[in-house]
This record gives sequence, structure tokens and C-alpha cells, in this order.
Amino acid sequence: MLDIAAQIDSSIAVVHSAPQFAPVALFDLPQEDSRETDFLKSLNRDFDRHKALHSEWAESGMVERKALDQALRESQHTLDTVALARIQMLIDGVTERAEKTAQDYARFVKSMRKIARKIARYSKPTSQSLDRWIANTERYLESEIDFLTETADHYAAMRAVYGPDHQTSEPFETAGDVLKFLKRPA
Amino acid sequence: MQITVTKGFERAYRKLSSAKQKNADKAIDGLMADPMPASLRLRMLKGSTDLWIASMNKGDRIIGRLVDANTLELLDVGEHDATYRTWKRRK
Repeated sequence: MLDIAAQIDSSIAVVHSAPQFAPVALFDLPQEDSRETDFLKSLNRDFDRHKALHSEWAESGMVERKALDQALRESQHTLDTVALARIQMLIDGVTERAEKTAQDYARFVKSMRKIARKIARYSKPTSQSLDRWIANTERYLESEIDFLTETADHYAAMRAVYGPDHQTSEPFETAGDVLKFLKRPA
Repeated sequence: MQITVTKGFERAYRKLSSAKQKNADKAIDGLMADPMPASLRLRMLKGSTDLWIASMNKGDRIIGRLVDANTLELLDVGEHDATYRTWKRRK
């Protein structure tokens, strides 16, 4: 049987090795006499590199999640307080990472919009290309945030099911009965 | 389809604002009427065979477990507001 504590530790290690997106292009803003195509190429290169790193990291995170989920389900192991605290660390780590991702990208997209406006003064087509690039990037970043929040939810679900205080009600046949139960006076 | 409720879900539900409780009520109603309601984007958590998640709206979700073919156990309800708020603030 898989060692649950070792599996949690291994998951924590993966969470802490998340790649950070730091586009080099942002530190080298285009001047009016610079070539915008070079700037866009450099952005694409940085972002593609980040996507590759992120997808590799997400893949190893999935392997960890799957292994812990499977180990807990097969062993029906009840988590002790130490394991619960470690899983909470895992949830906090992923949540912090999601919040940092949201913050970093919000700042990044804002900077890119500013650059697009600046470029629009002397090259409308490049500025439009940059706008399209920003829109594509936003879609990718939202999916990255969704992935992270879903990972935190998955660990929270494992904690809820395998924690020592997992107690469940009788089964309800109608939504009305569920709501009556939830809204009963405490 | 039948639903069971864990203590953790009950605690989380009681902490919700009344507006969010109304959303959760609607979602529970939806789950009872149709175990795979399109409006809730119900899906298995990747890498799991029994844990699922349903989105009520961006940031609010219900997490549960498929106990058997006929029973859903509700584990948690709540939000990821901070993350999504940060992301939306830029707009």
C-alpha cells in the first residue's frame, strides 16, 4: 500500500515547484524605432516557454492528485490530524498559487494593454495583433486559474471524505427535503 | 436520485450569504431534477472516479461524491471569490 504521508509530501513538493511567468519582453519595452514584430515574437517565445513549463508541471500535479485520490479510496484510510494539516498546507499552497497567478496576470494584461495603446500611435496592425494576442492569452490564463482552483477543490474533497469528522445525513429523495434539513434551526 | 449531506457541507452552507444560499438551493434543485444538469457544468474532478464538482456561477461551486449510481453526497459549497475577484478587477 502506498504511504499516504509520503504521497502528501510529494504532492506538496510538486505544488511548490510551480513555474512563474516572467516575460522578458516586459523588461524591454518597444521604442518607437524598434521593430514591433521582434517584440511580438519575443512575447510569443516567452509565453510558449511558460505554457510548456506549466503543462509539464500540471501533468506532474495530476499524477500526484490521482495517486493520492486512488490511495485514499483503495485503503479507505481515515486521515489523522497530522495528515489533515498537511493536506490543508497543500490546499493553501495551491490557493496561494492561484491567487498569485491571478494577480500577476492581471498586472501583466494591464501592462500589455498600455503597450498596445502606445504602439497604436505608430502601427495600427501591430497594435491589433497585440490585442488579439492579449485576448488569446487571457483565455489561456483563465484556464490556468480554473485548473488551479479545481486542484484545490479536489484536495478539499479528499480532506472532507477521509477526514475523521466525515459524517453524512440520511438520504433525501426530494430537493425540498434537503433544503428543509439545511434550513432547520441550528 | 437521492442526496445526502455531510456536516462539512451543512457548515459551509450556513456560512453563505442569503443570495448565495439561494443559488445553492437552485443548484440542489437542479441536481435532484437531473443528475447531469447542463447549467451546473457538473463534472468529475480530473484524476478521480467518484469526486465531482458543479459550478453555480464563476467562483461558486458545490463539491460532492458519487456514493453509488443513485446517491450523491454533498461535501462542500462555497466560493473562490478572492482569486476570481483579483482576475476580474483588471477589466
